[in-house]
Amino acid sequence: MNQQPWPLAEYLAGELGPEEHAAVDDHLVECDDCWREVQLARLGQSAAARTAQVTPDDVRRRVIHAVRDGNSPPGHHSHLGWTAPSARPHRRVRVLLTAVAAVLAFAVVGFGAGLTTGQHTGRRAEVSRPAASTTSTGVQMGTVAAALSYYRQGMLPGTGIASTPAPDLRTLGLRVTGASNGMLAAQPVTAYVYSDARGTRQIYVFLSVTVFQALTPHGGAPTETRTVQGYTVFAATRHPMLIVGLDHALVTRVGTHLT
Amino acid sequence: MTQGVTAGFEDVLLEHLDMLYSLSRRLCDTSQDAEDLVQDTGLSAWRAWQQHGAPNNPKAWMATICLNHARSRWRRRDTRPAETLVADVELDHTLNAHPGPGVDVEAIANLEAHAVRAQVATLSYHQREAICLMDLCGFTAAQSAAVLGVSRNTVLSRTHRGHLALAALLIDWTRTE
Repeated sequence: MNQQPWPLAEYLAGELGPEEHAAVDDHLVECDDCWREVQLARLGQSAAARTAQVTPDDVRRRVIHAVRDGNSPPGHHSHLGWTAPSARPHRRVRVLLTAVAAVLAFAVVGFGAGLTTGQHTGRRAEVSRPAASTTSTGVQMGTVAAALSYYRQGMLPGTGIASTPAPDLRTLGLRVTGASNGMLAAQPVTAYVYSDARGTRQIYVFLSVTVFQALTPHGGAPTETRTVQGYTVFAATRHPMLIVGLDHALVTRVGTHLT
Repeated sequence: MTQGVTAGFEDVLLEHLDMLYSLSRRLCDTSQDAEDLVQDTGLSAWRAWQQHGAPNNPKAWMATICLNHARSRWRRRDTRPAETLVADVELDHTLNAHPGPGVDVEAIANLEAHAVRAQVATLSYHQREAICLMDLCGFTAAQSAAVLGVSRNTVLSRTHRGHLALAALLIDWTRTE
């Protein structure tokens, strides 16, 4: 198919000139691959357009009042760090505090529920830590919970640049698609994201520049694989690392490869 | 601040509020976060309006403020999206896994919006941003590129891959239902 790739993305966005557009139209009649790609993309495109939502009335009122009430001082944020009350009592304050309390309650409950059902909770892992317990490689469950939270949400801990090149997993069909330096439950880590040929996020590898906290050789297990809420977690002590992913066989293969 | 200035801003805000809300719901993990994001966006926009006057392109201006606020939330939480390097997606896999005949297009078209939104939430952050701007807000690729601060090709690529990924997710979803 691909000597010169056809501009399908532009075609689907409706941004080709009339001649180019007609040329792609003609091509689609002959080319099964491109035809299929366009049909699939159209499916996604029309579905995405249906996700538009109408603003709920209370949100609408809240935003308008926020604008009218204040001449809010700079730095007046509506999240947990909001600390600047204005002279007049704000209904928004009561609504916000109630909302914050509700969110915190939800986060504690919801985070646990999220781990069970595998759904997004949208809260930082630090908001609620599962009761401390250790695996046979001594890795605290709080660290594992944090690792899974990042994996599930497709986020990376920290915003720093990973200065060490990623472990090469190309022989296992995995490519690095993201990396960062940051903290995993108070543990400094370098995190690498690996995806397969489809571009699907497959595993996270966390390497520690220091030994994982509370990582003690309980019974001297050098490595351990365990299933946590449907995810596979591999931990190693000698070269401190944590690998998480949905595919049990893949995580195990990578763990073996890297130790 | 005269009544007129406030009223002018309010009109613009209300005109684009649904766009901001839809954007925020897709970019945030919880509806609470989304509502906060909408409010933060409104306040920032109001402050900027007071200082600099009405913008030339209010729609793009609002969307830019919203996306920037959404991104700055990760920095506050010291996280960022996992997709930082360009992954060369081999589309053959996606296409071969979901051959044309046999895909129940009607079933997918009949999926309730909340089911579709749930699948959109699993797309990568960058794909969600691009799809929101192109499909929900109706920006051109060039306009979206300006809002995101990336190249037009990047926008087109992310949007296209996002559509394919979403299609694959929805097909799997309807097949397991």
